[in-house]
Amino acid sequence: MSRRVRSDDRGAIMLIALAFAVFGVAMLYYAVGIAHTLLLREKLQDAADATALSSAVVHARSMNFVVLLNIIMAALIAILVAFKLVETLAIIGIIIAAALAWVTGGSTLSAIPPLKVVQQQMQSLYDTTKEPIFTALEVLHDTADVVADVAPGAAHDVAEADLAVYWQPEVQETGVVYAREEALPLEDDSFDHLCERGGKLAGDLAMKPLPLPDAIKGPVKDALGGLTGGMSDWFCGESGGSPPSPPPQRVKKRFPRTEAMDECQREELSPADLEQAAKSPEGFRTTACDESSADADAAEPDEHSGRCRDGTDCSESGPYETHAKLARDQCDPTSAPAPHSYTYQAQTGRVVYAYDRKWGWVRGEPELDAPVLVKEGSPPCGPESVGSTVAPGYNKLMRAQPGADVQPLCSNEVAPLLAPLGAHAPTTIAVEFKNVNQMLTCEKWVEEPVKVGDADSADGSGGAKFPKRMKGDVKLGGEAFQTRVFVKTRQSASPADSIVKLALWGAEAPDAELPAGYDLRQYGFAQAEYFYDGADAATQWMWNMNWRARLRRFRLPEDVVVRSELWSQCRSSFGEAAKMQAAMTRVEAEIAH
Amino acid sequence: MRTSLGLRRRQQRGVAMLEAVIVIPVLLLLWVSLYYLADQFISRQSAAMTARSCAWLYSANNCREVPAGCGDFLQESRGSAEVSPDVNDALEDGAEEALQGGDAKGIVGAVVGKLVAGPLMAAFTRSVDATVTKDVQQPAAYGGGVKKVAGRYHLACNLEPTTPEQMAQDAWSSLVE
Repeated sequence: MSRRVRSDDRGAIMLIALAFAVFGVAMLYYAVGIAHTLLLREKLQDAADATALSSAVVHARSMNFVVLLNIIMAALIAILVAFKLVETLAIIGIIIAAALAWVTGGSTLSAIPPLKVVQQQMQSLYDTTKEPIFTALEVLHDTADVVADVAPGAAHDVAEADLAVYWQPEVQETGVVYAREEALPLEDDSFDHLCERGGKLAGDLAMKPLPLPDAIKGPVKDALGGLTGGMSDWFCGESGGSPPSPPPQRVKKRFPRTEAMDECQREELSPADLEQAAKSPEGFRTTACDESSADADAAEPDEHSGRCRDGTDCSESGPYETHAKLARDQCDPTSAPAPHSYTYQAQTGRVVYAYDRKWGWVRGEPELDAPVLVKEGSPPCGPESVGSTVAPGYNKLMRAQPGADVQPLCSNEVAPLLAPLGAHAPTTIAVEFKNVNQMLTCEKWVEEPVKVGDADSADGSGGAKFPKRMKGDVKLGGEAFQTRVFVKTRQSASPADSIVKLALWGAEAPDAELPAGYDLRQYGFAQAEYFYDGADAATQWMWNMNWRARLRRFRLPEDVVVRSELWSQCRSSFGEAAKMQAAMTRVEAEIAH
Repeated sequence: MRTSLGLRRRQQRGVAMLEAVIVIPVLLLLWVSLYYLADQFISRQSAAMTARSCAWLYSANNCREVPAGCGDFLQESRGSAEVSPDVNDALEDGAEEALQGGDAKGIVGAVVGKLVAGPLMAAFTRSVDATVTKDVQQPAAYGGGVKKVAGRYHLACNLEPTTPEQMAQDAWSSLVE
């Protein structure tokens, strides 16, 4: 039997053919897997490339749009410059005609009236158009701000929408567009530069019909631009977003001033406050002003004696004494600006000095009159140079220590100096004196800046009319212009996976490279940038619409550790832009271009 | 012995034929499948490559000139991608708020905003769709006939150095369309 089986070769070809067939089917399956993986990889890369370019294009378009806004601003300001230019020429004509009148016997004076008419008409046109043009400039500036702020967000949204709409179903909905900057790398340029641009544009338009060679037109245009830029106040109305600051005004203020009073003055009113103020202007007060006012009322002295009023806090820390202390300091006649119109508490009295051989003149107990409130223009105390009315000297220390008596600001009491001469000479002398017990108020002329418009206008952040320019620290090709895209496939496994696993025959996959490669298969990466297509200087970049986008060659880090970190972030936080950005920032230095 | 040998030879006649009849179709099917797979893969890749090339070439010159041989595959699209409402809101909020104020800046802002927002958004979403289809002959074993495979590519139109006049014309064109 076994011999028959061994010698029977029937079906041998069949066995071999079946073996080949199984092998062939496996190979076919493997080829299908490879083809599928290749197509998927291509699709992923296409999606990443297209999305990265889409994001960079939105950035570039935004830059070109801001350039357009700059040019429109220059065109608007050129209108003002043109009016001013004609007006300037008319003025120059008037001056020349007047000057030549000496030589021509007055015949050139006839040219002055028509020139004057032209000058006045231009001035009138300038005044009429200035307001709407400035308003338009403010709007354009604000629009440029908005575009600069929203462009990266718009790029992100457009790229994600592209992924969702055009690259399904192979690509997962969530793709992360990584761009370093939260806004376009732009900042405000100067108004003088805008005026200079307007001057050049006006010159360009004015010389267009003239049959002059470019060699002449160019320098004339540049000269005109330089002239208007240097004299922007004359040609363009002002030199910045905020109106020119008027000189500080002199204001008479009552002293002493507390912090609450200063705060009350500084306090900006909210719209609700303004509404309330409009309804009842007399009764309206803000919180800080309420406190300040209550404090000042409590510190008000008795109108006759200048003492702390009954019923108010007259302690050493009370408002009366606090104000009196401040008044001693702030109403010092030697301080700047010099005070005037003093109010102080004076007290007259008498004191008897008795002579003692051992101690000399000994001061007795003074007899004091009632204190009085005095108002006068000259300082009661102070050095002789200020013309003090009561006595020289100015004691700023109110009490030597807490609880001690109040020391007068100054006193004209003069103690006898010489000993009694002779046996019959009197040994007691009564001395009358006048003390200035408290300095209560004074007035000063102080200079204060005049508020013009709202606070925004004053600091230039609102009402600005500046064009945009590149930030000083950015360079083309730098990180500020880069945008990176990661896309992930929705399909977690391809038909080839099972074949790869079959080849392992149950063994564990190698630790490092294979899993990294395995992860790599699921993601697509691309980098694009927006750039200025030209050799112009950076100052020209925001005046020519030459911004474009392009893909950048982009190689992920070779280092296995860095790669693993990036893959790990991809796995754990894909779709969470902040985490992906953090991961990219960490590996950014390792990226090779 | 001779009889036995002759019997065996007689019994083996046709076996090879039988085996060939069984095996050859399997091998033929494998061969046809491989050929069909390769054809389909190459066609898909070729279509994708053509779509990619056409889209990139068209995009490179701001979607102005259709590259040679790409005329049937390209279609320019505007605004098909959905831009976040936040972006629209950001662009229009300023103008609307200013308009509510009723001041001169508000009126100018509203006019500028309306003029700017439309063309701006159209410009943001100006893009090209390239679709290339290729026919792949299906073997009779798979039902016969022709199977269509497609390669698609969507790409934003890149930019070219332009001037305000040209951009104004583009904006006007986008408004008219």
